[in-house]
Amino acid sequence: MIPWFFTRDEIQSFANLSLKKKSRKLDELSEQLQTTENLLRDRIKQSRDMAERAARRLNRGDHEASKDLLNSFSSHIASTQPLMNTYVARKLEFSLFEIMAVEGFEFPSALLELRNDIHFGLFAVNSMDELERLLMAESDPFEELGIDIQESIENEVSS
Amino acid sequence: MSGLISMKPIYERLGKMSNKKLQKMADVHQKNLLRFIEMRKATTRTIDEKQKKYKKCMLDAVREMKSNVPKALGGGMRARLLKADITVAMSSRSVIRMNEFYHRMMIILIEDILVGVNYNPDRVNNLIPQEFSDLISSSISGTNFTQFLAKLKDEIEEVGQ
Repeated sequence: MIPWFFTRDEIQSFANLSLKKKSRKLDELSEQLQTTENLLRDRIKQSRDMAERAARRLNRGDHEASKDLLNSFSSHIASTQPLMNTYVARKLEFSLFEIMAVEGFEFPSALLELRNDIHFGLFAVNSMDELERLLMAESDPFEELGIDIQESIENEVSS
Repeated sequence: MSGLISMKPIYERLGKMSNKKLQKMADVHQKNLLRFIEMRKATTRTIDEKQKKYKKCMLDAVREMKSNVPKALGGGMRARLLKADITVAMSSRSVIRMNEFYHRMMIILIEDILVGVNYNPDRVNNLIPQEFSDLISSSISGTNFTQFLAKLKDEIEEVGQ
């Protein structure tokens, strides 16, 4: 069965566009993606600045100020997630359109005729909600290394 | 090769075409194949670069975690974006590789028909297992970060010793 991501109307209609229209659509999406990425990078930078300010405060012995900044940092991480989800969804879509714009692109249906157990990575999700759930679970590198950010913050704040 | 669906229909369709048409078709698939090979190589380079950055970011963060937690967390934020980019790039590469494989298979099938090779599913199966398993394992590892991070954790622990 062809994964849901490839069957979406916008994906199917892109395939039928002329080269010129495909190129115009890619420019449009690239601009949109760039705006999202810039915003995300700004938010990340703000988080890092907050964390670094907290580190400096901690080094100076300003525990209360450090606590405040770490708490803000913690809520900032949570607020970044929806933007991160949007960024990934747009980037996935843009990447697929880029591949589709290459002459000779074939939809998975042609390939599934050859083999039916091909894995499609993130394109294998069944809905945007599923993509978000996957990213929520995927987006904490520390957790996978066995480091609990929240616990670390709490330990730091209480020390 | 449990997932392999019979290629006989494609083989039969191609078998009904003239040699001239088949040769022309093979040329088109060859050009398409080269495009997707180049695209796959470029995507792999991007993945490698981002993985190096991610690894460095995580190494720094884990090292800093022992002495300066807030700074480590700041670095971790950057790692999250890098990780998202790697996952997207790996997913894209799986689609590119599928296309690459498709064109390569079509060239093989056309060449076989042109030289009069009789269709034999076992022979076709023997031609492709390595490519298929490589394709599939790479695609799966594209979203399987647990293994990737487990290795990274081992490396970090080695560095820390």
